[in-house]
Amino acid sequence: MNGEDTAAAWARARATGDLRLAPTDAAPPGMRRLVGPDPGPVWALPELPEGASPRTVTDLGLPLSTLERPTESAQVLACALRCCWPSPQEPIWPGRPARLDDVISMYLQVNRGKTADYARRAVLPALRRLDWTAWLQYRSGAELVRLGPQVGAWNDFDLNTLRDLWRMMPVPEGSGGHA
Amino acid sequence: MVDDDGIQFDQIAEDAAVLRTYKRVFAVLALESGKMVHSPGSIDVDEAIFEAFANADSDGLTEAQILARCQPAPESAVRSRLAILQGYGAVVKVFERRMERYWRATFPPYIMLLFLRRLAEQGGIAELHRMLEASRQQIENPDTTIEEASAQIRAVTYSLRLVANELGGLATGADIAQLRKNAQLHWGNEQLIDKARRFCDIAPERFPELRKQVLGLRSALAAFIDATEAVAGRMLDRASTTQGLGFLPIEAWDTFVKRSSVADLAAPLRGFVFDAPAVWFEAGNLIDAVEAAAAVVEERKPPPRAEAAEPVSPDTGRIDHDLDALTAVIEEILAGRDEVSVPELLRSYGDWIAARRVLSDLTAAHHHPDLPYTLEWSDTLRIEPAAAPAWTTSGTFRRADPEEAS
Repeated sequence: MNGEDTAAAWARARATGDLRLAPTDAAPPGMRRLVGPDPGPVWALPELPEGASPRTVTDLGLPLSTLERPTESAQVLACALRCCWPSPQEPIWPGRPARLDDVISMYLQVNRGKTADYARRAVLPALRRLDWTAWLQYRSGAELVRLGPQVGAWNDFDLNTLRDLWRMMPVPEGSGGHA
Repeated sequence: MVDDDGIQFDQIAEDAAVLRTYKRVFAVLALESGKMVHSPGSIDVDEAIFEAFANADSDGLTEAQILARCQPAPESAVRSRLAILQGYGAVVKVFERRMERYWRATFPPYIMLLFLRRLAEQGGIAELHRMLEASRQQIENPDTTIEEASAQIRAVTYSLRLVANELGGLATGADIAQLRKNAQLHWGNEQLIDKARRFCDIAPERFPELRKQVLGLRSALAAFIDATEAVAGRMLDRASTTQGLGFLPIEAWDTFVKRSSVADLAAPLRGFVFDAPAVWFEAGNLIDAVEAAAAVVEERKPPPRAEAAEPVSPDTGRIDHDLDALTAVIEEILAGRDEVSVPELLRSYGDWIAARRVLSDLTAAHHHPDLPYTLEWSDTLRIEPAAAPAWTTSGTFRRADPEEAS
């Protein structure tokens, strides 16, 4: 892979949020190969130096680039994370697929007092937004929600915080989890 | 008979000349004999052919040369258009003989092409401008005969009437989209109207005999102005609050957004490179978001109640409370006595900071209409440098007589 291809790959990863690789391809320079559950897609995940990661933006006191309806999106991501991450002792990636209904009922447990109808209307668009940005994989109309390659970009420090989040959140109704 | 024949022959010759020019002019519009041009593409081909001739010298061009010079227009299209132009006499042989290979173009069809282009680009109104300008010049020209002037006035009158009729139809029947499409018919016509008015003023001065005809022109102009105003009025009614007639109506945007694919919507931004920072979720933010959801539940407030339903006004309660507090303080000061000397009382507190509070309580009790206490001052002033406060006016504070108070 020459310099131009590398630049193009980085630009594409940056523009689309995720960069899929053919199963036999190596990751472009500076990127990590992120292998999904077998057999599944393979992604290249940019590995940014600590001083160039999105965290730097927070360190500078600037607002992060967020999705539309940031709080709702973050809640839905947290719900999906709790459902897709079987145990915080295990690595977060690739996780396991979760049923859409479980994610919705998790959202309902977090947002007490909301109707099931409201939850559906909040969760489905948020899932779509999270899919566009590669934080989750969810195809419109599908029954299953998977984690997206972007979760591989969280570092150990983030993962510790997320383990706290995991313990804080209610137990999913579906296949159950062990606190 | 001979004369008649002669006249007939002249007539026929004249008619034939008109017909020939007419045929040549309209050759550019004829697709095949009897049919009209449908596509602007074939007009482009005609233009290419005429340009090829214009760039050639007077020797003319062979068919092969024409084809070569009309690149990149497709050869078959050029060939078929050329055949039509030849058929109508718009492109003729340099020498009228069999096996002649050189052709030249006649000039009226090209003028017609230019005219069509102009008409397509600027609409009929621009043509009306030119017509009025030309008519005015002709009327002012001393060589113009009365017949020519009359013909000019008639042409202008008819044109104005036709435009007015079209606008009148639009004003009553057309929807807003059609009005917008025909905006060039009725926008910015002040200049045109001014020109027409000036023409109406000049014409009768020069040809008093045509006064009646000019009257017809004036009424056509008035109809045109009315129709313009009617259409403009309807457009203004429909324009949103921005009054921006040049903007698309909101519905058009709405429909476009709803019916377009993502690719269509993104098309205007093709060629731009966006380097937006990727969306990032801080792990802490996820916790915050989940906690925020829990907090919302805890903070649920009772629904707002109507003002009238409030049982007690909070103000009244506060005043009652203050009154009780003040009575308690005063009774403490009096300590069972009915009367107390103010200077002694104040000095008993030792310093002015404490004493002034007592003084303010006494004054408040004296002025309160519901409390049975009075404060009376006398004229004597006592100064005792050693005491605090050093300066005191003698006065007494006492319980008021119940009879006196009522």
